[in-house]
Amino acid sequence: MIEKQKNRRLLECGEKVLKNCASPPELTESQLLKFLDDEADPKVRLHLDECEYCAERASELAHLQDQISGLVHPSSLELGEYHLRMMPDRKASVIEQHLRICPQCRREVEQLHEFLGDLAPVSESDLLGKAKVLIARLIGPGPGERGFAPAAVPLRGETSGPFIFEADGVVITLDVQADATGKASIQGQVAADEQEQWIGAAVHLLQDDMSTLEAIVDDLGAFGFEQIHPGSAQLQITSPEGIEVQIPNINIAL
Amino acid sequence: MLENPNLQFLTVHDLAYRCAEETREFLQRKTFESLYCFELFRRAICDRDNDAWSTICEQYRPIMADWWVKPRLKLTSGDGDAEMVVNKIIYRTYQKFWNALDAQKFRNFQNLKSLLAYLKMCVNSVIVDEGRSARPRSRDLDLEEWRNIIKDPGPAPEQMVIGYERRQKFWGIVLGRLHDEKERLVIDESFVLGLKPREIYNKYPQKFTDVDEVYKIKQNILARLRRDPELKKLLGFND
Repeated sequence: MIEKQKNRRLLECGEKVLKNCASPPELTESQLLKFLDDEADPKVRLHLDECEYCAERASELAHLQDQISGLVHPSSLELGEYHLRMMPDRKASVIEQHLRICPQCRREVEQLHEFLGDLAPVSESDLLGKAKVLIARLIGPGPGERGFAPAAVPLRGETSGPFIFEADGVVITLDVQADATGKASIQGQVAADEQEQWIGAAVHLLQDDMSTLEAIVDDLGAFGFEQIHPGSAQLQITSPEGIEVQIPNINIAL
Repeated sequence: MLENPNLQFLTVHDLAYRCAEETREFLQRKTFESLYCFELFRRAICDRDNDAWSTICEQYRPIMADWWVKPRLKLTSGDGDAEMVVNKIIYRTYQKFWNALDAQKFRNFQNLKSLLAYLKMCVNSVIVDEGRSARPRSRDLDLEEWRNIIKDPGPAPEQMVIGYERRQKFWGIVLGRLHDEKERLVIDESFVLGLKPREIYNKYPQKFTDVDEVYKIKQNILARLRRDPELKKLLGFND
């Protein structure tokens, strides 16, 4: 007990001088390894609860194993540079060898591939590579009726009736309402000949301050956003098959 | 990349303004040029220009947060803790990006898109590093685990980029200290595949008498490696 108190005092002082087991015999390395693998028997766990010396040894052993694991596998950065083809051939072939035998690193590269596959925001030229990108046009209320500038479609909460956009047979209705806090909400509806194609579509509202709101088209074709800051924005609706409809330049005004 | 010779005469302030314009058009998916943003990156990485670097950090933070980090972690906006987690990941990403690149490596990048791909790869790398320390390795962490992680200062910036040479040296030392095929098998299965001795025994029952033998072999290897002066130096062990 005195020894244990002394050990604790030494630990508190930041010194690593735990020289003795609190309840000998001290645990073997195999027992400690089993403990780290969650395979130790209850006596070992009890011992470790009581003995800072053996607990410290277990901690060091875990650290050693982590260090070895860290050096056996290519770092996540190396896997990334390998994937981006930024590595000299000699290093890349070593990574390839490792990937052949290591399912975990293979999985990380696959995960990275998937993550980088959607390098959003993407450039205009990248849009050409998408399955299909449609730019919606306003079909009602008409520009003449509302007198807005051609560069942007202002969505005003006080105007009567919802705004209707159309792109290749897909009709998008947006109803903008002002809330009490000076922000806006949008209730949207997607209607198309192949309506089921749009169920589960991801809707993104990209705002001028670079924030993005996300919603999902429900089984009835509806979606909604709340707490929208007034300002210019872009709406994108992407179907599960990758067809994207854009309303590129809208101005949310209250 | 300096297609526009006037670029070099622009101040960081001018570049920042034009890069912000480019980024706005980028987000609106209009046709855009990436010369100014690319030049900012070039100055930051090749010239180690701190002003350019600060501008980049500010410029791309919202994109990283909303387009990359939150979707990758499946986090939603509005949760204060989630925002802290996102900020920490972005901070570590910038550290990693900064430490990983220099003027020589910068030659790999032909345009802004390739640079952003690298930056996004660094986001993934930071997230993967935390997942690697979890058990089982590389599983997705939940928000509670991320909350704990952000309290941790994390690795020193220079440790974020473990060199190929260091690992090759380490592996050379380890292989040189193994006595037989059984030990090689235990090392490979334990540290490359991350299997426990029980799993190794179940996989190769004909090679070992029981699970304890696998533990014994692993214990011997670890004790040998821990005593090795070269490895002590490489891993920074204390006696």
